[in-house]
Amino acid sequence: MKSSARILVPFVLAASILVAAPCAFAQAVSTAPTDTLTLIGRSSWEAGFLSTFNFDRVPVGARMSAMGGAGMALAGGAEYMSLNPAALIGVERPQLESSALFYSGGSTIQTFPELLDIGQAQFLQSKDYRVSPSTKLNYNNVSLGLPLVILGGRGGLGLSYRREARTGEGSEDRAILKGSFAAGQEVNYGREDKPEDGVDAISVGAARAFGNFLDLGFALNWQSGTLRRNESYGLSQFGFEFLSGGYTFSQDVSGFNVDLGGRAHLGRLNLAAAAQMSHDLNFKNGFAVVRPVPEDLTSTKILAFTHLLDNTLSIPTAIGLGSSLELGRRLTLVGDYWIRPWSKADITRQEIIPTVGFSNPEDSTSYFVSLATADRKETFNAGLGDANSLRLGLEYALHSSGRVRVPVRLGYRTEKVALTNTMIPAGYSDYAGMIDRYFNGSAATEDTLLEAARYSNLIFRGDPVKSTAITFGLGVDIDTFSASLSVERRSYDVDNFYLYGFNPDPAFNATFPSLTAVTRHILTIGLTSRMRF
Amino acid sequence: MHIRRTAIGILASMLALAAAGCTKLVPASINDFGAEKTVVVTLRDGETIRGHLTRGAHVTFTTFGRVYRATVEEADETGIVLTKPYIQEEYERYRIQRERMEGAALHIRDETERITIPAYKIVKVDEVTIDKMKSARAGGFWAFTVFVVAKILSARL
Repeated sequence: MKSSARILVPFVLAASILVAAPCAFAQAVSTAPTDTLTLIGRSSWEAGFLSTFNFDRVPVGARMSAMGGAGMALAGGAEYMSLNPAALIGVERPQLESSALFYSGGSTIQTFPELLDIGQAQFLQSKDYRVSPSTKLNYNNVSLGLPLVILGGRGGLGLSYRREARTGEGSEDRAILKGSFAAGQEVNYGREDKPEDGVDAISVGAARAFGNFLDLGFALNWQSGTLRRNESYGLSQFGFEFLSGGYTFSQDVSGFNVDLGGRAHLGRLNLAAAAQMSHDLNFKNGFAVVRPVPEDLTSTKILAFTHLLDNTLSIPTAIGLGSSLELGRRLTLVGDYWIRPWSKADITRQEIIPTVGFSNPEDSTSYFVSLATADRKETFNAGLGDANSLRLGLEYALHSSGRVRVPVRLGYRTEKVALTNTMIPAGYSDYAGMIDRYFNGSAATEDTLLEAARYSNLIFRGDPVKSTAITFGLGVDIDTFSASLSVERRSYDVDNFYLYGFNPDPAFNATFPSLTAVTRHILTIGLTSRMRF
Repeated sequence: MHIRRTAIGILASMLALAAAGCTKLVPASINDFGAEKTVVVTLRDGETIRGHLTRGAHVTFTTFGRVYRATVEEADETGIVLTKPYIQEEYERYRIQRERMEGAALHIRDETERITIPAYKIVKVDEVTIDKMKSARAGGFWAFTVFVVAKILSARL
């Protein structure tokens, strides 16, 4: 394997441009050979495949979404079981509800590196960097609610299938790259990141009223799903893509947890508390096919079949407090607060023993990293920040008669989520210099390189992403039928790598590129229909 | 993939149409007998005749504890005459009421061959029509629900 294959992606991109651009038209079809490798990777966390995945619960149903995700103190339908199982008391007739969500959005680029020093006195100019969040239509939930008499008291039963945690927003990035080495020619850089699917939950919940003052409930949640992510990036000129790479990742996830909740009625004021109990989320059968960007059209293409280590993520208990206040017959105010100490989340997997060194002791460019797995388990912090969320909402009945009710809803939500900004710690910004220092005998540098080999992407987890959402919604209730629409505009700033195609294989150990700061605006339109029987 | 989506779409449409069969009753009269209308005739004791009340048509006669299918022999302003009745369903919880009725003027037994209903027993005639708004709501609900379920199944299967 050529040592040059280990260089940083911008290096690869730059070198690719240098070599390939002048001859792009002469070699329309690459005839380069393909090597396949089978590798043992780390877990999907260190490999970075889960960097866009947020395991916080998403609001369920358009009514809840339109009210900022708040409403644990409301006597809701079966979908409110995800906030507070005690809300099932609100199910007064058998009902079936289903919801779907449509995502879209835009972005504003705050900063990105316009000039990259790629070494060897070469510079890479970039301009017109833009990020377009992808659109997606997906299900949100199907819930069945039944009123019941439980142990002689009024109660409710809920059965729900719902998307519990999303995979994050996909996006398409574009930029124009230019270097003096390419004879002033501009090259288009494109990257598409498509996280797919997420964690779904089948939930069974029950609630019982204790007098007119207190409702208590519980829900059992069986979580499962397959997380997928496809990322591809490439360089093109005049519409012809001459170099490309990317990866395809998938992994099964499963878990089980219990929710507990209660509501207290104090006249027009309702108070509520809920807990989503701690549990483990198991990640298994992780697999990725990685296609590094080759240096040029004649370089050997590599397909790295990477088996990822099974691992367990310990999810801390989330606590929520909420209230609702009825002002007259038309206006209801709600407010919730949630906190989950994600900073206590640990990852457990097989221990990894990394080795770094030089295959040729006389050549500093022969640096290599290799990994071996031990029989022991290793537990370490997942690098996530504490999540908390303040949610405020109101519902006002524009029209309310015997058969027809037309509520409008408004909401506001601010939250830190279990997504982190990418951060480059001091000492990690000059990877080539670090290898040089190690070559020259720096033991401290060797420790840093070993840490980087062991934990890779986790080293670059920074502060939690903070998002703010403004929500609006409209509902129509006619007899036994209800339909609700919600519109949410969520904005968050996020720092990510620029021109980065990470690689879980240490043999292709990329160095640490520059960051971008982007404000994303995600528009979510939710639609819910409900029938009472 | 395209075939699967088409199949799901057809299934969703069929289910939506099947589930959307929502009807409502609007006032009609004896004069509507014989017209191309499905009517519900309510009798004094709460019994009903449902169907197209024209000679030779098959209707459903619901009385205490039993549901008959019968053929219309006569339906006009003097009354309704049904022939060839046979029992379609029987509800035992109405046995006592039925036994009481069998002793009354209206004789309906297993061996009944002719049911005569004089006009004075008719208290109400309603026409059965499609409730378009209700059908639209139900159709929309079921189509949307099937769409969401199909999305779940396509993601998980």
